[in-house]
Amino acid sequence: MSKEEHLLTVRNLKKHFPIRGGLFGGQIGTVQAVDGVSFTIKHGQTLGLVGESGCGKSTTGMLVLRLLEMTAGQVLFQGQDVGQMKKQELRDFRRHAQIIFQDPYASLNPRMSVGDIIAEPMMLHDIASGIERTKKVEDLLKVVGLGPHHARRYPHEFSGGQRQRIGIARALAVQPKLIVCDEPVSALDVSIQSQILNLLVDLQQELGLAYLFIAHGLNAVKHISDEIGVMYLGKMVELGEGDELILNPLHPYTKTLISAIPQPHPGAKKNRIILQGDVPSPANPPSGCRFHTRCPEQIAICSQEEPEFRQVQSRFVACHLVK
Amino acid sequence: MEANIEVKKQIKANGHVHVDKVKGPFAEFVERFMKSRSAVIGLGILIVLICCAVFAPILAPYNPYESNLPIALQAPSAEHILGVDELGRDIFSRILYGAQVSLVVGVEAVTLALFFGILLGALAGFYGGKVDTAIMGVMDVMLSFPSILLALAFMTVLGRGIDKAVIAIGIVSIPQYARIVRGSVLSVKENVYVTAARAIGNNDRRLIFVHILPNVLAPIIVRSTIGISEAILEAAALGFLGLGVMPPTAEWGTMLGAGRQTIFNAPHIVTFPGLAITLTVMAFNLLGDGLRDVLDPRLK
Amino acid sequence: MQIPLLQINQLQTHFHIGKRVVKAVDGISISVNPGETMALVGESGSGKSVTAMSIMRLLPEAITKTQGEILFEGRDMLKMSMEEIRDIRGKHISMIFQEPMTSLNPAYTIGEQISEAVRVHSNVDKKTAWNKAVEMLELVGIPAAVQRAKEYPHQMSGGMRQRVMIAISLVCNPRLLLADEPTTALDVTIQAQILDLIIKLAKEFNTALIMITHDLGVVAEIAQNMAVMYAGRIVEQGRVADVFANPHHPYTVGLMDSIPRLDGGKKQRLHTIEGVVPDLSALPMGCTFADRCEYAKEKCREEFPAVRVLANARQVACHYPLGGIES
Repeated sequence: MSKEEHLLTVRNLKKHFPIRGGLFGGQIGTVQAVDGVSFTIKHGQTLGLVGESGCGKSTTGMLVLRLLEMTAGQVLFQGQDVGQMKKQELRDFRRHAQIIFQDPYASLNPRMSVGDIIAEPMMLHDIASGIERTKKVEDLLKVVGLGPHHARRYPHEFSGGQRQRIGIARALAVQPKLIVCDEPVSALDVSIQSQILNLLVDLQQELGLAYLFIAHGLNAVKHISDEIGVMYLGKMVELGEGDELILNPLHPYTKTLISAIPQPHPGAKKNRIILQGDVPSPANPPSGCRFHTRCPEQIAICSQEEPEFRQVQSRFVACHLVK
Repeated sequence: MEANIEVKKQIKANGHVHVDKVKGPFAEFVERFMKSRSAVIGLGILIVLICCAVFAPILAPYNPYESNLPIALQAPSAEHILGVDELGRDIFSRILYGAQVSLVVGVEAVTLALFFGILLGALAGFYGGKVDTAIMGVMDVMLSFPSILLALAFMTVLGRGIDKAVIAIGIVSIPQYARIVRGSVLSVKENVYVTAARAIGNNDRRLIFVHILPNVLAPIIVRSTIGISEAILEAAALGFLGLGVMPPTAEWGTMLGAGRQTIFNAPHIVTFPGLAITLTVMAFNLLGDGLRDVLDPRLK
Repeated sequence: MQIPLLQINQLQTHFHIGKRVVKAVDGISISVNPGETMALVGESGSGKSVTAMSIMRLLPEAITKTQGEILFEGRDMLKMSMEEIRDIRGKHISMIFQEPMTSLNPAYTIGEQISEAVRVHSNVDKKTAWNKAVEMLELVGIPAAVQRAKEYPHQMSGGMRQRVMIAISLVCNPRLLLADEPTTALDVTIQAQILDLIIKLAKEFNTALIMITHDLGVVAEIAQNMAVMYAGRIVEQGRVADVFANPHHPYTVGLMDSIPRLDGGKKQRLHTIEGVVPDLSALPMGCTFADRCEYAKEKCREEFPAVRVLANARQVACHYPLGGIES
């Protein structure tokens, strides 16, 4: 199919943060937060990114929206190179690509009323004004399950789940095509998580939104995603259709991740893979395959040669063991 | 429940639409202000002080510059309720007239310092890197001199006079505000809502002024209330050194300085101007504390 | 019949804040047998952490009013002097917290912190205590324990710190361990390590465990008994296998159905519990869950449901329980 099918194409994305130190604050090393990640998102579809802390999934989300400057690679949004955009183009891009954050307590300006928070993106992008804008704010509040009277309140008056709804309304205000959801339910209670997940699914179906859904909880990612990408230490280790990937994981890390999640089935037979040790520091990643230090299936080549991220049938995987 | 009432109010107010119109933001501000006891008391004292300054010619029982040497150093009495100074001038009248100078010096100097302090501090904190190094380098150099010495240096360039003194004092206190603002901006800008604001397309100017600065108000307000008293005292010190406010001009700081020699046999000469300064500082402090709370929607 | 290690009867913990009374825990009863694991499940504000803090008597006394009984080996802890409590804390009952970053003192090495815990409760010299500390570090799976004992908390990862916390809490061989969301702040693969470690050590030391968590997966994996808390009360308790197989309280059902499952359908609607947890300082008259319950009837809003005791030590507090019990 043509490019049109892909809303977002990410190629070999890299972000290296310098580590400064020493007497004169010179660079003494780099943290390879994201190191060569590629994926695509189709219109109206969801790509889920999972991984543990430090794997670079949130950084990837920030890079896609150019809230951080990338070190190398390419992000194409509807064929346009996000990295090359000038100020005005970038502003227009922000109309089409939005973000929802993890911490609903920190992501809303405490000094602004909810109405102002939701109206601000419309003001910045000249969408509606005056009474029409107020009306739109009310509509958006309704869409996310709040009431028009909430517009005058301030963020601290709301619960975590309600704040997350406000954050969603703000993202929707510019009628975006893509929303990066950065751990949108991790900070919420279980019963509230399902409310927000349902809302996100409903909005996707009604508005044709595409999501880049970033989370460490595989359950939530599996629930909402069409495709899932698994990240480890700045690299994508496996990428494929969601159900298939969970049922038949190819990469040893994906297998571990799936087996590590405590499942609510008491007495069920478990073949849990317990990894040894901690995630290595991204400032000093292991040679060869980055997972080899903890991999239960590693062979000799793993510590020497980095596996290529290649297509295996309908799946992409980076592992020497997968033929 | 509360929500219901609000909705009804809204409908009553104007059919449908504008949610903000239920109670205008200004009306709401006034209402909250009136509820804050410290803000009201502070403002009350301040209004009294301003009235003293404005209506000094009417309120003052004597000419503040007319000396009456025979009664010099006289303690408070029925004729001179706050006593007379070393030249036999009525202290009460001088304090009333002094308010004209002192209040203006304090407020103007702090306003000047705040304006540049906030601007420089915000730029340094927001952009960091070379901008930060450059701005804060200059600020640190300024801070390394005793402020009065630096003010003196500026006065030699600017020339004499009260307005020059205000400018000198204002410039000298810029670093203190810049430092506070920079520190607060550094921590506030790490908040996710700042990133969120960037993600919806805010430019740097709006990020700084709409999303960051309102959240660093609290420490700035507290610091500037103290700053006002410092400015008054520094103006007095400059006057004492023969720059800035010159005798015989009635001004609290100068009065305080002049009364020093006679502090043991006529303590009232220093006491009352001192009290006037304290009262002013207290008024600004109370107002500042109150404002800080009133302006914080979280404390509603 | 076995004598329970810990028996809580009608515990109420109310906070008096200004004129408000926050009923954080409002009449709960549980019992834990030696060596058994009990899970306290609930969302934020359900009172599960306050229950643990009440057992440890760690709440600020000035604003806390506690009633009921907390019988530890038959003695009521609420009637004990602070001295007696201090003797129990750490030695007989110890606690692990959620936040491994802040629950260790950054100014001391981890070896010092573990030996400190030893020396508080037993009269041994520094050397013996230090050796004990190293031994514990090995036991909780910290490699090169002799060297690591000399390190400071900031030099360790979150998972390692949680291991150190476990070492501190088990060093005096307590009979009861309270674990307050010990794995919530950790990554999944690390969480798996820590859960395994807790289960293994609890068995080895024959320590009873009260596991406080919001994660039903964790409950299913490590506990024998569970109590589901909502707004300061226990709405349902029983053996884990029984409760999962046939939950009776609508809140338990809602909680179980609202988790997205790995074997569930893609983008399928999840069950939700609408609304939010009630204000603990203004609880409704009837059942606290009535406002969010899809089965609520008039009676639910008027009358608080008494706890019903069923077979197999199963209890449920609902007027109209689900899953085939006549009401």
